[in-house]
Amino acid sequence: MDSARSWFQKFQPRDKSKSPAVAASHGKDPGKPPIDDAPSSATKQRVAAAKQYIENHYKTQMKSLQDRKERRWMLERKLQDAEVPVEEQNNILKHLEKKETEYMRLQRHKMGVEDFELLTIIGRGAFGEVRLCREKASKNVYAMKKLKKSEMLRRGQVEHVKAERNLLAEVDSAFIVKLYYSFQDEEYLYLIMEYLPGGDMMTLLMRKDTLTEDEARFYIAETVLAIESIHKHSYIHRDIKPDNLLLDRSGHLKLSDFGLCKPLDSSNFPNLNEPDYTSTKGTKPLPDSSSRLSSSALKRTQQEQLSHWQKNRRMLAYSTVGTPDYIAPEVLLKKGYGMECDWWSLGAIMYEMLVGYPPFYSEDPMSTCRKIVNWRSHLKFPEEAKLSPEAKDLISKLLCNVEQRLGTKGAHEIKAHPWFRGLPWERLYQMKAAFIPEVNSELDTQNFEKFEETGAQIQSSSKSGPWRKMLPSKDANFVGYTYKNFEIVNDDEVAGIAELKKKSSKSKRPTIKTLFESMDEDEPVQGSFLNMLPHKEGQPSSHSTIPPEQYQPRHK
Amino acid sequence: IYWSRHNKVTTETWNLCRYEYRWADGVQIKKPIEVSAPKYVEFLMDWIEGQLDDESIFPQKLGTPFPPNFKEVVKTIFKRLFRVYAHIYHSSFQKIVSLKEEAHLNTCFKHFILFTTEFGLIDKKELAPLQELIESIIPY
Repeated sequence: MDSARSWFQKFQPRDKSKSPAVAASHGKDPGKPPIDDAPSSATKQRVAAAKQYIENHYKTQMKSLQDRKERRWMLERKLQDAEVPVEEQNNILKHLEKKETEYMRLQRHKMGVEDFELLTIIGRGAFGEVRLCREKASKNVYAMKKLKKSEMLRRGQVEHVKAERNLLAEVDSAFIVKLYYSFQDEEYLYLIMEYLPGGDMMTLLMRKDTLTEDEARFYIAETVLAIESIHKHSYIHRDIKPDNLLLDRSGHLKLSDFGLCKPLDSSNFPNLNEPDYTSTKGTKPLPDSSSRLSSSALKRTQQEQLSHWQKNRRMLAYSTVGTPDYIAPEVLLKKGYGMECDWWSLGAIMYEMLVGYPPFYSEDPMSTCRKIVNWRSHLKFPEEAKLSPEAKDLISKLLCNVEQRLGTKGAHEIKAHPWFRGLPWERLYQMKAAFIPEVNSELDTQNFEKFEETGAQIQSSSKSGPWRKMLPSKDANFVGYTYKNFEIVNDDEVAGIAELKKKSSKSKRPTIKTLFESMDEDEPVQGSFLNMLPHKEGQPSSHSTIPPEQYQPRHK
Repeated sequence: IYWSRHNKVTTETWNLCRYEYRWADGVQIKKPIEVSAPKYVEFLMDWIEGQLDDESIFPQKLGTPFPPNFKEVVKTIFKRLFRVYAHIYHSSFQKIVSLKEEAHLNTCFKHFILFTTEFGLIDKKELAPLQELIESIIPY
C-alpha cells in the first residue's frame, strides 16, 4: 500500500515552500527542537517495541484463524468417519461454533497470578520455581512455572524462554506436557501447565537405581515418540534429560522442561575457571590430569560410581551450571547441530537406566564435557551391568558421530532397531506402564522432592492500573508471551461426540465446561455479539475433505 | 505544543479545513478542555482501557449478555480512535516514515477502516479528515 506515502508526498512541495512561514510562527519558541531532530534512543526503543507488537499481533491473529479452521475440519472429518447422522452432525458443529465464540471471549480475560490459589512447590531452580496451583474459577489443578524476567535477561535466556512457550503452544501432542495459559507481569513470566503427579524420570531412577531392559524399553520407546513429536514441528529440544521426562498419573511419559537449569554455556568449554562453575557449591575443579582421573574412575566399581552419582545428581540439577551429562558433543563444541543431538541424549538416558549412572559421569561437569567430546575413548560398558548385545548396540549407535547416529534420517531408524523388536508402538500409551506411580489425590505431590517456602509470598497484583503501562518498552523481549489453550473451553478431545455421550452425567464438580453447559442453547443470548453481525448464509452443508490452507508467514 | 496550535499550523500549510479535537470523557472531565496531542492520546487510551475492563460493557464471564447500548459504546471508541489516526497522518507521518514505521501504521489503519466500514461503526462525516486516504482503501 504505497497510497499513503504518495498521498503524503502530494503535500510535500508546498510544505517545503512554506517553511519560512512555519519557522516564523515558531519565532516565540526558539528553544523548541526542530521536527527533523534525530530520534532519541528512548524513541527508537519504543518504535522497535511497537513494530514487534504489531507484527506479533497480526501473526497471532492469522494463527488463531488457521487453528479455528483446523479444529472445524478435524471435527467434520471425525463426524464423517464415525458415520454420525446429518442432523446430529449439524448440532455438534453448532456446538463447536458456540465454543469458539466463548473461547474468543475468554481470550479477552486478563489472566493474572491472583486467578490461582498457590499450593505446594514441586520444583525450584536458578531462574524460578514450579508449583502446584488451582485456578479459582474452574477449580482445575495445574502446575505453574514462574520465571524471573530479570534473570532471563541477565543470563541471555530470552530466546530459550520464548522457544519453550512457542513449542508448548504450537505442539499439541499426547507426548508433550500441555500448556493451558501463559502470561506475565512486571517481574515474572508464568506458564500454566498440565500437572503430572507421577513425578519425573530423575526421581524414578534415583529410587530404582537401575531398570530392567523391559522396563527401560518402555520408557525409551515413549521418549522416542515424544522426541519424534517435537521434531515433526521442527523443534530441537537440545536439553533432554531425566528431569524433563515427566510421568502422568498412569505412569506414562511426557516431555517437558521442568529442570529450570541453565543450559550449559558451552562457550566456556574447556575453560576450567568459568565463574558459574567455581561458584557451584560442593564441586571443586580437579587438577588437569586426565590419566589419573581415568585411573581413579576405573578403580571404582559400578556400585560405587552409582552411589556417587546419586549424591551429586540433585545438586547438579538445580545449580546454575546444570547437568551436561546428556548433551551431545556437537552442542558442547558449538559446531552447529541439528535434531539428531536429541537422539544422543536418548542414548545417554538409556545407558543410565541400565547401568545406573550416565555414560560420561565424572567428578565435575568440566571433566564430563571433556569425556563427552572424546566419547570414543570414554564410552564403556561395565561388565557388572550385564547388558544384552542389542542394548549395547543401540546405545553405541546413539552415542556416536552425527553421520552414523541412528535417528539422523528419522525416528523410524531407531524404531527398527532389534532391541525394540515386537514393541507395539501404536498402543504404547494405552498399555500398562512399567511402573504405576502412587497418587492419592489430585493435590498429591509425593512423587516430587520437598521444597521449603522462601520467605514472604508477596503477591503483586498484575491487574492494577492500565495493562499496557505495566509492561515497560524494554519488555519487547517478551512480546507475544500471552497464550490461552482452546482446551480451557473444552476438556474433551472430541468436542461434540463426547458432549453428546456425557449429557447424562451431572455429578461432575463445576468446571468451565459445566458452566458452559448450563447455557440455554435454544434461546439466543440477549445482546450477544453474534446478533450484531451482518446476516450471512447458514453454515455450509458440504463437508470439507481438504485440510484448510496453511498460512505461510512471510519471512524477510 | 497544544493540539489546536499544532493543528492550526499544519492545516494552514496544507490548506485543509480546520480540525480541532477537544477531550472530554463525561466523567472526570465533563467540559471539553484543550489539551496537547500526547495528552489527548493518553487520556483516550486510559478511557478505552477502562471501557474494555468494565465487565458491564465487555463481559468476560461465560454466558453474560452484552448490554443493550453495546454498539453505541463501541462506536464512540472507534470515533475517538480515528482521531488519533487523523492526527498521526496529518501531523506526524513524515516522522513515522523516518522511523521506518509507515508499513506498520498503514497495516493497522487499513485493518481499522475495513473493520469499521464492515460493521458501520463510524459515521461518514467523521471520516472527512482522511477522506482521500480512505478512498484508496475502499474505492467508491
